Amino acid sequence: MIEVNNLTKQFGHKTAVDALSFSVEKGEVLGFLGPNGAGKSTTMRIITGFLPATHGDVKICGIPVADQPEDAKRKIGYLPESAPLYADMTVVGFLRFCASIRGFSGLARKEAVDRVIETCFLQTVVHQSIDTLSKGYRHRTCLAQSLLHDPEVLVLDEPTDGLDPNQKHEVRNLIRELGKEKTIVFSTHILEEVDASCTRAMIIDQGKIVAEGSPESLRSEGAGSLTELFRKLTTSEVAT
Amino acid sequence: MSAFGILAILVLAAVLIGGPLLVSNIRAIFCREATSFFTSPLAYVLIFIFLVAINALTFLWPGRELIESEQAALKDFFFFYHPWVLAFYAPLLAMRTLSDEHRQGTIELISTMPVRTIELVFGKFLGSFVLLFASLFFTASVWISVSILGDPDHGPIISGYLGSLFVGGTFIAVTIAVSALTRSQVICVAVSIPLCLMLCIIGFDPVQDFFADSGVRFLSFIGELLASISVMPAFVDFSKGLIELRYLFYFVSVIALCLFITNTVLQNKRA
Repeated sequence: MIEVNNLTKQFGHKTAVDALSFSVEKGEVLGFLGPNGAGKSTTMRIITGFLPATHGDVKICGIPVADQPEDAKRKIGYLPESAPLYADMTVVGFLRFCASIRGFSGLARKEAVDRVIETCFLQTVVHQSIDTLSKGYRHRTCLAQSLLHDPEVLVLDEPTDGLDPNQKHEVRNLIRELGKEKTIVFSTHILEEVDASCTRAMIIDQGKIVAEGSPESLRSEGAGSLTELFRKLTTSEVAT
Repeated sequence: MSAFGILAILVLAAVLIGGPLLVSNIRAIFCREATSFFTSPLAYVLIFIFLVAINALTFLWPGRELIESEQAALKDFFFFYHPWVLAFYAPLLAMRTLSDEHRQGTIELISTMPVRTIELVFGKFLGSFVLLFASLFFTASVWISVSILGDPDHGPIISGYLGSLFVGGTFIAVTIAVSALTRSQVICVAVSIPLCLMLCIIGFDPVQDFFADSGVRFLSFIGELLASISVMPAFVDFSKGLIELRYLFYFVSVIALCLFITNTVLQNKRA
């Protein structure tokens, strides 16, 4: 469902993503781990078509993102790291706008919006202006827009960032449920989320994959601790 | 101008504006932009300032007061000021179109949806254009006043309004192109207003007379070149009731060029 082949992204002289290759199939939830500046968000932005790759290619459900961006974007639901929203809209107004962009109209649009409001527990803030929402509700509203069109692929950049423990628990459960039928890639700094939600995990550092496997195999590589493995593989670059 | 001519112009305007709105993405973005404008106090403040400026200039400019002129014509007492006021007003309308998307981070959201960049740009242009239309609509009080006090020829007035819409649309397109280059609304306005004023000044009669009366062939050529890219010759003819195909082509092509530049800048910025 997601095929990344030899993906490279350079910003001037800096290489943010360095010949990355991986694939994610239906029913897999891939956890993207890495320190700040590792290239996680850049990779996700290339997968979703926001940034073009310098080299390499990405395919979503067999559709090349670079050559057929609109077709590929129809298959993807994306939650950016900053959970951007239009502050001058209400929650329901924003979701209706996103649904219109996704090709919904009339009753189908209403049903899609009602569905994601229920899925993301937004009932109490439906008519509230977005600029008055708490961080948690802003995140959930942005997550809701990514689910409107029931996409086959979900790309979530730090979906639990800034949420309280209850909200984190809800989102992790949601990711686990959605992951049974979809292809999900999400990035996180919180290693316990790998166990909670992922079927597979990947640690990247300085744009390269430094470890990959199931949570169990990665834990055994780190002598029983994912944190130890993470620190072993990424700390040396921080120290220098 | 004949009724047929007016009808032809209105059909053309409907096609140019209504046609793109048949594209659902453009329609969705246009509706969002228009709703955002009209639910914000800023829109009403801007419209108020525009109306005060236009009415003050029309009725109070020393030596050009409409009532004292005792003429039931708006070309020299009302439409005369439109390009100059629009050179300030249109940038204020359009300054936040793309800079807001960058500032809020929503450019990342909209760019990862199945929306072509040109659809985003066109939808935003139409959103600002409808606010311009509303602003000009409310200046109809002057037209109504003149119609009550006298018997004006309505054809030139209608074509004058069309000219104002085209001039304002051109300035909006220029501002949107500048907005794509900067996240700062202040810089956007600071660059757009002089650009729009230049598009007025280089075709203004005293400036054109300077080049034409210079006696130097090269300067005369420069004057003609500047007139060809200025909004003023086209607008002056519109306000007289003369709608020439070449001027329609001029406005449409300048707007299209600015929107194309915007599209290219947005795509290259991410590369």
